[in-house]
This record gives sequence, structure tokens and C-alpha cells, in this order.
Amino acid sequence: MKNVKLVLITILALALVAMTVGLAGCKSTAAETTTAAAETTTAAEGTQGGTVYRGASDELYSMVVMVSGVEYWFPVYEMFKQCGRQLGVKTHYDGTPEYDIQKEIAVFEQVVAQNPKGILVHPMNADAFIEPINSAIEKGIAVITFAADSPKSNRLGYITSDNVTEGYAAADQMAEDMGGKGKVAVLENPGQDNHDVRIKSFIEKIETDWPDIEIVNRAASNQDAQKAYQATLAFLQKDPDLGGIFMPEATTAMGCAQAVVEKESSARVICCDVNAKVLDMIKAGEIFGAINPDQGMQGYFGMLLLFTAAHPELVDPMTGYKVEDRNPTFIPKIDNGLSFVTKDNADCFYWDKYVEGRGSKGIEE
Amino acid sequence: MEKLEGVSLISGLNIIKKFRELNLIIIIILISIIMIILSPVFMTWQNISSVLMSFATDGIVVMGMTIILIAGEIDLSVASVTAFAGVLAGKMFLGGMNPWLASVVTLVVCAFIGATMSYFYTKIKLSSFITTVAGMGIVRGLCFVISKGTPLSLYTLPAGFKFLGQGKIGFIPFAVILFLTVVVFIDLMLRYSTTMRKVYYVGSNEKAAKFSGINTNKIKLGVGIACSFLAGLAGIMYMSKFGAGIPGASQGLELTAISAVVIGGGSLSGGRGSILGSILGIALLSVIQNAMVLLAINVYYQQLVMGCILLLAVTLDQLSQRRASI
Amino acid sequence: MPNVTILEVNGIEKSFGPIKVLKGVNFSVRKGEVHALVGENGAGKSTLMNIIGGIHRADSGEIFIEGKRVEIKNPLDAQKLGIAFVHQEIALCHSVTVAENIFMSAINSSKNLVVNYKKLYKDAADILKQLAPIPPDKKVEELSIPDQQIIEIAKALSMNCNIIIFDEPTASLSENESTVLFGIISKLRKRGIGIIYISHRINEIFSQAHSSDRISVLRDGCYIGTYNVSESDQKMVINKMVGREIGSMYPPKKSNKEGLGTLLEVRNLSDGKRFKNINFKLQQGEILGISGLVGAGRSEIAQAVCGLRDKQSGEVFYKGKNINIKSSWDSVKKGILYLPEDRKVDGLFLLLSIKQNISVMVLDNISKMGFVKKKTEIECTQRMVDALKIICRSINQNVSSLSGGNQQKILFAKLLNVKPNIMFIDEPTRGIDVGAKSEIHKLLRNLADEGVGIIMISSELPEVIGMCDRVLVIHEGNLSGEVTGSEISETRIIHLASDIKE
Repeated sequence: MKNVKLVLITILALALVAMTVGLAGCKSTAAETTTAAAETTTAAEGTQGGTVYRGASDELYSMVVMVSGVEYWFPVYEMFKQCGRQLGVKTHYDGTPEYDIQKEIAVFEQVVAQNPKGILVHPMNADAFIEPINSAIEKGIAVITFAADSPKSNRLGYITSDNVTEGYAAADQMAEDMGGKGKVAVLENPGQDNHDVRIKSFIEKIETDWPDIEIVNRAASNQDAQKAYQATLAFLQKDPDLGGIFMPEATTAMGCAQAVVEKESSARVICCDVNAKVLDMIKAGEIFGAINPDQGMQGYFGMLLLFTAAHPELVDPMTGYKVEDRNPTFIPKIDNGLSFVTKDNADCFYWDKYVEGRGSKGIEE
Repeated sequence: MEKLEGVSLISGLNIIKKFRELNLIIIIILISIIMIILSPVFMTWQNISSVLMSFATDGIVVMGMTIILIAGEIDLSVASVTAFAGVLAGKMFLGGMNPWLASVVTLVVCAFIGATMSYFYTKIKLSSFITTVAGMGIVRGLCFVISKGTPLSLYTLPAGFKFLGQGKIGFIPFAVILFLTVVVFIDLMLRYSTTMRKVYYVGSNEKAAKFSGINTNKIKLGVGIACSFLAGLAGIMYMSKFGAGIPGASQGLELTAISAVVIGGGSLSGGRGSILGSILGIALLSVIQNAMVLLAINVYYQQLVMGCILLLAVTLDQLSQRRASI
Repeated sequence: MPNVTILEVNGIEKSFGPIKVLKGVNFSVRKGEVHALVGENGAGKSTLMNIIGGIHRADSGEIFIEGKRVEIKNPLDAQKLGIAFVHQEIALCHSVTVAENIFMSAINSSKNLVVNYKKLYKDAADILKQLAPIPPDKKVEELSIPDQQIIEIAKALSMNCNIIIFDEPTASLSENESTVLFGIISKLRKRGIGIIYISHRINEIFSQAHSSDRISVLRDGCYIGTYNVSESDQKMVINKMVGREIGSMYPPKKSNKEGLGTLLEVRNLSDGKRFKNINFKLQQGEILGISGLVGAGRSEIAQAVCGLRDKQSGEVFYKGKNINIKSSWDSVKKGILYLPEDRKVDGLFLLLSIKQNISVMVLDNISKMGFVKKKTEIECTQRMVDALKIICRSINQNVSSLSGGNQQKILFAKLLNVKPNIMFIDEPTRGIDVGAKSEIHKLLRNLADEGVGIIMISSELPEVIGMCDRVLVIHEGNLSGEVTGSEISETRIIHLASDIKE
């Protein structure tokens, strides 16, 4: 099993439908209103696909994150931007370079002050964002969350990776390669929610579906390569025949793999997320593989959701939205899917190469 | 400069020296003018209020830092105490306590933390730097212990309590009003109250203050308590504003606060500083932050730009001070 | 030695902003000469020396070294021209050795990665040999103040200088230590080094031990003249300095002290370290001197009585009542005050204004409901500024911008504001000019006449002799004797201070 792309059928279907509707809309009305902006047509009167899937050129869509210098966001924005361009609108990448909720909210509010059409936001804390998101929506700005949610707010949609699926996928990949038996260990990062879910699912999957595999050790590495290195050495001391180690993020993997190489162990290191170093190690065979969420889909469909929410006249679902006086767009959750990165496909995941190949300037445009 | 006695200086320079804050006001106005030209959004009330909101809570911490720096000590634990206050009050609220009561209890605990730390640097004679570095770690650790590492969801806080951080009176956020009230109160205290005057004496020359019959340890105990209390107050507002008790909140706030005080004319060696100056300092930092968002400055450059501007502001101020004092 | 002029300055002018501090000054130093430079504070001595030392640049005028016109742009130029500066404030690195301090600039400019300590210590020992027996590997913080000063001199010598400027070198030395220093200066002079000697102590320039050849006087930035020491006297020089006739240096002592009660009595006071078994009484209206060598424990006794230092045993009686003063705020409340010797370190709030400095001790008295009464504060400050003739632009001026004499007056104003009963004054006239000094002396006598008990600690014997009604002499922490009235003489005190039995 290599180069497996586990994209959930639901999203594909949704995407296809959306695209066909969009394209169809384009074709049918292109002759009459080539430059017409979506907002000029009134969907409320009950037209069927009679609108242009295109925004006005001065429409602004912003993507707001925290720790904005982190590479994870870049592929998200890349597709966010691509979708925005196809829709003929402006996009922008905003956020605070710091890991600070106060600053992220300040940036969010300052983006709101610029009165964009929509904001795709990664809320650092669910509750803290309730009020800012709600007040943006009251001002008529569409808000979609991604990668982290603020479920109690009135956001119009949420697109994310499914941490459970990620944990399951890692377990299956590891177990299959081990031939269904042996010993495994995990390095965890207690306290961070999405990491905890990945670990929990991984363990659950091993325990239920792979009866001959035993989880022999667990340790906290707290996203610290050095701690991971030491913990792995200890693992291998105890169980020299360890068959695999799973960890919920990439920094830990660098330290862990180093220890595995030094001990000349055959343990399969599997982590979540990638960076250039992890990719190099995967190519060198030091890391067995990595689960990588499909960030591009997150961005692309995030944009699409935003656009739809910002142009509610585009859809007319069979719901009570008219009576309830709310936006017809409301998608509780979309799974953006994931990839399993191995030696064979690792080259596709280098951000530099990817962005260069696309002739794009990344987040700078 | 003994040669200068009895000779008055050019009055313009005198004004700059006297109202050091004027420099900052001019810098802020200049940036604002540039921003008005560059971005139509800058002068909208929405933007201004978001800038005000962004430093209303941090500003309270800055005031505590101002007082303790004037006294010639430093408190690096403020960010931890801020987070701690939110987590502790949040935990008590989730345990069924009235949020107002929980806040009061929390503030008392924070004041006690300040008192404990100042005990170490007055009676045991450790440096306040190392004492509060230790305090920073201990208090942050407590945050994680109490919250078990995950943010506390305080969505169920009553509306009355949320008003503290989220409400508005007319079009002005209540947090901003509360903040300004505290600013005016502490500024007046610092200028005219007997106790705060003693703080300046202690910071300017601790030994001379002692020789002049001032109980310097008592003053330092007071500023230690005030600083932690204000950090706790900021934490309570933070909790109300975000409806969450976040154990990892406000990391690095101590450095922002110290920067703001120093930009505003404070000194790490004590004896100098004013509330107005410090508030203008934090305002300057926030306006620059805002400008970078509005001008869509590339994320890679944001921290670099921030650092350069910080250096520039302090240098300009220093140069004009020097010219004024020749 | 032939009269070769090695340094000559002509028509030096210098302004700071709108203020002209030097108005055409001429000055010269010969090879192997000690040339004293005197003048009141603010006369421009330091500025002139700073110009020669390259710290300031003159607006106009010329400088010649051995007949050649030179430009001194910075201290490095001065160093290259063989000019060394021994500053009043000792500027050594305390935590490193003597040798490292002496060769600091050599080490600094050295290209070697590692310091050759063996050679360094040997070179340092060579230089120190000519001055005093100080081990080169000792840390500077372990040395006494006079020894530290010798290190400063050694540092100057290590740079092969021909001219050494001494800026008030005896300000923090006792009489004996000064004599040692004068011995060293004589040695330097015999080697042909030209020495510029700045001092406030006119009497020491005319003393036996000292060996000044000529003396130049500055007043208000003007050059008054240069005189041969052998052809002039103390009084004439002082009159030139102040530009007027000064009568008696000290106010008359009080003749009759009968009938005044005992204000303070100290019994068996010990601190376990610096002094032990100190007993004395202070009468009302009396000026009691505490004399002794620097480091004998004089300041420590005063501080212990005022609650500024822990005492091990002993009792203090104030007006017959045993008082147990534990802290400075206790003593301030009783009106028992201490004026510290180092005004910049222990006395003044340099960052704060005159007003804030003067009102510090009475803050609680001029406050209402926890707020300082602005008007009262200004009034009482102004009263003090007028009474003590403190020269300033405004009472909001920072005290750091005042001259030494005015700063010292601020210190007095601070204490007088409290209406003191007993004042311990430690080196009350250190480093201030003749005019201010005599004003302070008058002030002290007036206070005593009003009934205040004054205990004066001073390293300047003439001051002790001129001012005190009675003198206690301390030797190594013990009370070695007491002299009263006409018995007070320089020899008596020196003998007691050095514990020489007569």
C-alpha cells in the first residue's frame, strides 16, 4: 500500500456538484451578463442556476491565522487564492506571527474593520472567538472556520482534517507493514486537543483491529525534538525489537528518527504533518511515513464555502432559511481528507518546489 | 554639568524635557497621518475601537509594570499571573462559584503571589529578576496544573459578567472605559499621592530613601502587590472578554509591557517613568501592529519591522532627551 | 632641572550652549613641576582639564606640547601625547586584579587571544615598585581607597606619560594617606613628569609635605594668574579665588556652654565588626567632632546610632530616656538625623527635582488624605532654597544639574526641613568650594546656637579644629581619646588617631 490518497467521497461529491453548478451557471448566463457580479442578480426570486459564479473584482476575502509564519498555512492559502482568482475576487493572507490569542483577535477585528466579504479563520480558542465571529457576521461578513472550530459561534461552516481518520490511517499503515504483529509505542503531547485525538484513535484502532500488535510504551515529548530523542532511546533500550513509533506531529519525529537511526532499529516512525526536514528523512528511509492533511483542499473549499455564504442568492436549499431569516449556507463540517506521505511521493510535498512549480508567489500575493 | 547652574535653557527644549510624552504623541500622530493617507479604514471607529480593545487589558499590566520599574525592581511573572487569574477564576466558576466572587478571590490570591515574591527580594535579598523568573515558571505551571493543560470553556458565564470584557456603553467598549478609569486613577496617584512619591524615592536611590526614613521594604512590598494585582485584574478582564480560561495565554506579555514602559520614558534602573508615557508606549506598539495589518505587510517582515520601530522610537526619544539636557 | 615647558595652553575658550565656561585661559606646566590649579566650583578647572585630556574640545585657543602645536580630539590623542588623567572618582574594574587594571588598555588593544599573566604581573610589579608595595595579583575590590588611587597612578605611568593630571586626589583620603600620596607625587616629579594638581584644599598646597612649585587661579572661567608657591600664602590665594577678602575661615565657637543639658548619651555601643564599646555624651548646642582615619569606624558609629546599621550591644539615651532605634524611620521621627558622607550614593535622588529631594523627609507632614499638598510643598521648599541660598533656575530642576556645593546644601535642606534635634553629619564639606564651605560652617554654628546637637565627622583636620567644641578620636573602632576646647590641635588629634602614646 503506497501512495494512497484517502479523500472522502463526500467532499469529492460536494466539490463536483459545486463546480458543475458553477460552470453551468457561467455558461447559461455568460452571454447576457459577462461582467455582471453575482450580487447584481437576485436569487431570492427563485431562479434556477440563473446566476454567475463570479464575484466583483473589489470583493475581498481574507484568511486569518495565528503563528502566521508557519509553513502549514501556506498550501492552504495557495488554494484559497487559486479559488479566489477563479471566482474573480481579491484574497489576502492575514494573521499574527505570534502564538497569542489576544493578538489574533485584534488582527481579526482589524480585518473586519476593512469590511471584507468573507473571512476564513483558524480560531486559536473556540470560546474566545464566539463574540468576534458573531459580530463580524452581524456586519454581513461571511465567516468560515478551518482546522479549528468555534462551534458555539454563528460561523457558517467548518472545514477540517479528521483527526480520528488520521489516527486510524497511521495505525493501519504501520500495522500492515509490520505484518500484523509486533510491538509499537507512542510519543504524545498531552494537552493539545487535536494531538490527543490522533493518539487516542491510533491506539483504539490498534487495539480493535490488530490483535497481535501490542502497545508497549507511551511517553510525553511535548513537541520537543530533544525530549523525543531521549524518550525513543529509552523505548529501544526496553524493547529493542520495537516495530513502530507513532507521534501526532512533525517536530517530535525529527528527534525520534534520529534515535532510531543511531540505535539501528527497524522501528517504523510515523508522524503527522510534514516539513522539509521530515520529507528529507522520509526520502532517506529514516522516517517510514507521515500523515499529511490535505491543506490545499482545506483552502480551496474554504474559499468556496465563503463565497457561497457571501452570496447567499447562489443557493436555495430546501430548508427553512427564509422563514428563519438566516444565511442558507450552513455546513457544520467538511473533512478535507489526507495523504499518506512515503518515499515515493515525498517529492510532491516540498512547499518550495510546489510553489515554484506553480509559478506562484505563495502568501505574498 | 555644574557650569549650567542658574542659566535657563531655551524654552522649547525645556518643554520637550518636561513633557517627555510629547515625543510619543508626535510619533503616534505622524504614524496616524500616514495611515489615514494610506488606508481609508484606519480612521473608522471600528478599527480604532479594535486597536483600543487590543491594548485595554494589556495596558493594565503595563501600569503595574510601570510602578514596579519606577521602584527599581522588575516583575517578569506578570504574563503568567494574567493567565493564572483567568484559569483560577474560571475553574472556581466552573466549580459553581459566583463569577464575581471568584474574581475577587482570584485578585486576593494574585496580590498574595505578589507579596510572596516581594518577600523574597526584600527580606531574603534575592534579585527581583531571578525571583520573578522563578515566579513566572511556578505560576505558569499552576495554570497548567489547574486547567490540566486544556483551555477552560467559560461560555456559560452570565451576561453581566461578560459585560466586563465584551459589553459596550454607547459605542465605546466597556473594557476600554474601565481601562481608562484605571489609567486616570493610577496616573493621579503616581503624580500626587504620598505613597507613590515614596516609590519614586526608592527607585531613584534606595539607600538615600532609607537614610531619609522611608521604609523601603514596605514600599517594595506594596509595588509587588500592586503589580501582581493589576496583572490579575487584566486576567479577569481577559477571561470575561474571551469567555475562556487559557493556561497558555499572554506568553511574552512581560516583554511587551517592559518595552511599553521604556518607550514611555521609564528606566530599567528605576526612578523614572509615568503612566501616561507607558500608555502611549503600548498605544504606539498597537498602532504599529494595526498599521501592519492594514497595509498587509508580509508576515515574514512583521516582527522585523516591529523590532526596528521599537529601536527607532527609543533612539529618537533618547536623542531628543540628550539635546534637551545639554 | 631646567625650566622646560612641556605643556602650554593659550587663550582657551569654551561654551556649553549659551554659557561661556572658559574665557581665554592661559596655563603652562614645566618638566618636573607640580602645578596646582585652584578655583571655586564652576570656575572652569575641570573643563580646562577635560580639554587637555581630550574629553572636550576647545572652541578656540591653542595647545602646545613641548613647543609643538597639537590638536587633541579625543582621550586617545591625549594618551598618545603622554597626558594621563587621574580622576577624582576612581574608575577601576573592581572584580579583576591590580595588574589587569593597570594594563587595561594594553590588554584591550592586544591581538593575543590569551593574556600572559606571568608577564603581566611582572610588569605591574615593576611599576608598583616605584609607588607602593601592592601585590599585582590582588583584586582591586580588596584594596583600600588610597591603594586604589595608587593603581590609577600606576595605570597612568604604564602609558609612559610626561604629564599627569590629578583631579582632587585627596578628596577621599585622610591626612596620613594624603602624605603618602604627596610622597609619590614628589617621586614622579623627580622623574621629570609634569604634574597638574587640582584641589579644593588650599591648605594642603601650602603644607610641608606637599611640593607644589606654582599655583594658578581660575575664577568664573577667567584666568586670574599664576604664582610661585614660595612667594605667596594661603590667604592671598583664597582671596584671588573668591575675588573678595575672606575674613576668619570659621565662625566663632560658643564660649559658654554651662547649663545646657545632655541631649544624647551612648553607652557601650558595639556592632561586633567595625567598632566596640563606644561611650560618649552630646550636650545641647554642642558641635562634637568625631575624628580618626578613614575606615576607623567613624561613619559606622553614627549610622548605628541612627538605626541605619545593626548594632550588637549598647544603649542609646535621648534626653535621659533609653531609646531603642531599630530603623531609620524611628530615628527620623525623633529628629535624630544622619547626613551621609557620599551625597551622590547615599544622599540625593539625582533623577528627581530639588523640590522632591528637599521634601522627602517631611512628606507625611505635608500630606493630607494620602496626597501631597502641592502648595505647602512648594512653599517649604522655597523657604529652604532661600534660607540656604541654593542657586538654581527652578525648584523643579533635577539635582544632578547642580554644583557640588549646591547639592550639599540640598542635603542640608532635606534634614533641616524636619526640624532636627540631633544631626550626625558625615564629611559635610567634601568636594565643595570655599564659599559654600564657609556658608555651611556658619549654618552649623547657627543650628548649634539654636540648641541642636551636632556630631560632625570630618577628614579635614582644620575643619574639625575650627568647628568643634569637643572632639572624640577613634582608632580602629575604639575610642582612643577626647579633646576639648583649647586642647584641640592637629598634633593631639593625629597622635590619638594613630594611637601614638605621648
